[in-house]
Amino acid sequence: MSQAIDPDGFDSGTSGRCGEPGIEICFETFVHDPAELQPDCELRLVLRDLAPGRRKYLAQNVVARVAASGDCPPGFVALRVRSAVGNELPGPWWVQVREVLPARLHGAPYSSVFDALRRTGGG
Amino acid sequence: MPFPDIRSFISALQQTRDLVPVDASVDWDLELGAISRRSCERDGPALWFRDVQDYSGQSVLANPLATWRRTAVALGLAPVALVPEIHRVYEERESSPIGPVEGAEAAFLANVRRGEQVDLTELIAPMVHEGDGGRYIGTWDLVVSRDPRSGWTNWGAYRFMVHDERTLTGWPRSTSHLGTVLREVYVPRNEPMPIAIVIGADPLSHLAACATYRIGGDEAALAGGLGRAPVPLHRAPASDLLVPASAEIVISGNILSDAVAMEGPYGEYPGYRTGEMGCGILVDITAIAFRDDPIHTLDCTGLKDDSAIVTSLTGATAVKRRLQRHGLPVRDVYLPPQGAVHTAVISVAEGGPAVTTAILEVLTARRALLSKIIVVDADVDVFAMDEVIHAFSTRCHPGRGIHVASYDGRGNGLTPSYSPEERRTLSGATVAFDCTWPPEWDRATRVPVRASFADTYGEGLQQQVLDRWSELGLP
Repeated sequence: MSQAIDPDGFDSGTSGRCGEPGIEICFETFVHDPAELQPDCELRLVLRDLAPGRRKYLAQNVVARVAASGDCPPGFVALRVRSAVGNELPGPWWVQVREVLPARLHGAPYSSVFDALRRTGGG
Repeated sequence: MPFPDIRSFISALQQTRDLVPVDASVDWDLELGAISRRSCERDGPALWFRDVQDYSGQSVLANPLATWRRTAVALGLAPVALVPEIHRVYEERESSPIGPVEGAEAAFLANVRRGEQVDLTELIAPMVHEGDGGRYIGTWDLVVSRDPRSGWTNWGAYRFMVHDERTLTGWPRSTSHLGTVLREVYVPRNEPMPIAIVIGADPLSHLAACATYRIGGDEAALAGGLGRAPVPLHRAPASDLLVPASAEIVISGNILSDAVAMEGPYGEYPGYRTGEMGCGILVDITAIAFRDDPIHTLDCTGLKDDSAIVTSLTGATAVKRRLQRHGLPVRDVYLPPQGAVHTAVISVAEGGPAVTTAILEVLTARRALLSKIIVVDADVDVFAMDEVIHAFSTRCHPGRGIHVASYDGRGNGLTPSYSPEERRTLSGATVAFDCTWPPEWDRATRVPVRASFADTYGEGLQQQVLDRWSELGLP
């Protein structure tokens, strides 16, 4: 079961280029292959919240759209993308959260979270 | 028990100058990890961060056992104890376990949160390395679990990351003792596996949890043996699992058999972030409990971390006992901490290809975590890396002296040189370097003589030189 979107929690209204002064990176995600981040597609991602404070780095599973170049599209916020070994991939990246998915995905221990995300409803 | 809790251990390390209290404010978000990592790489002291941003009243002890000195202190030895002496003491005490005692009072019950009250962000979980997948609360931890078939209680040390307020994710190897019971018992039954994650217990309980120890072995009794006194235990909150009563923090939860969430990547003990992520386990947290002003513990993983020292010590004993059980003529074993539990140096009474390949077979038969084995003659001190590298360089035949065993399903999923596919399938190989003289070579006429002070001069001349050393103005 998907949860309702909480726009206040996701849309900071930030615009501009990722990495520019004053552009706050709001979320972080990790991918095996940057080609997975297809623009104009609804993707299932694990986002880590980068807002400062005790809750920084908490995760949410989401359905989102990603943009990869130019200025920040309306309704999108800055995203940091890291590879599986943790290196930051060159941006800019932007993300718009469309739906929050359950925090716990169906799957057996040691099975792929990415496969479980793909199987999870939403969108 | 030399130190009944982490607080008395901290006091002892301060007295031996093996710990520095840090009173300046430090950010849990990478800064604390960066300081701890650099200190570790410089063989620096343990660090006790007493002012952590956002967490007034809590503190972090980083790298508690990441040097031989601190490990010696934990065992009640002089900090200057030599590595072979620490090994000898561990080996002796490991063979004399002392069972734990129940019913003690537990200071961690001073603050208990259950069910909806649980919020893991109430506790410090440092962002350890830049590029890690999240904040790791379990690095130098002690994880209690049980095999319901036999009632065996296991202590292990496994990494755990904060996913959200009431969820941890982790990556105990699937071939670890915990992973094995999870896969073989709880998952087929589709039952949650209760665990208790302990942070900040007495140092020998953590050493025992991190130790290379036989499956079915009682690590609580091992800790008692190492400290020569029983470890007091108390029930974890909302759980019937028993944990060290000295714990600063206890987190109770259930590993779910039908749910997963993102875990990793993480800069692990081999000294790399190798890219395993999204393939771990999920823990539903049911309760947390902690002392007033709790002290967290951090193993700032990477080169020469706590696990490198502890596994060097305990792994060497485990390897030695295993080889002895198979009748192999092992003398000494050393896992140099710089080798990140990938390299073992083994001295034997008599070497050669048959002994070397037999060692290789024994050490890759079940879990094959070592990838380099250096077999040397007994005249080489395994603890003296100058001698080991000399023997490796001069005695290992580059054609005939190298033996390789390949395997699937039992390799080391964290070995950086493996491909992602090899790490995923636990495939890999171990190489044994036979640095021994061929047994058929006659010692008197064929084996080369080492041109060393100890080997090429008579005892009389050696003593004469030693007697005159100072007189000659030599340091």
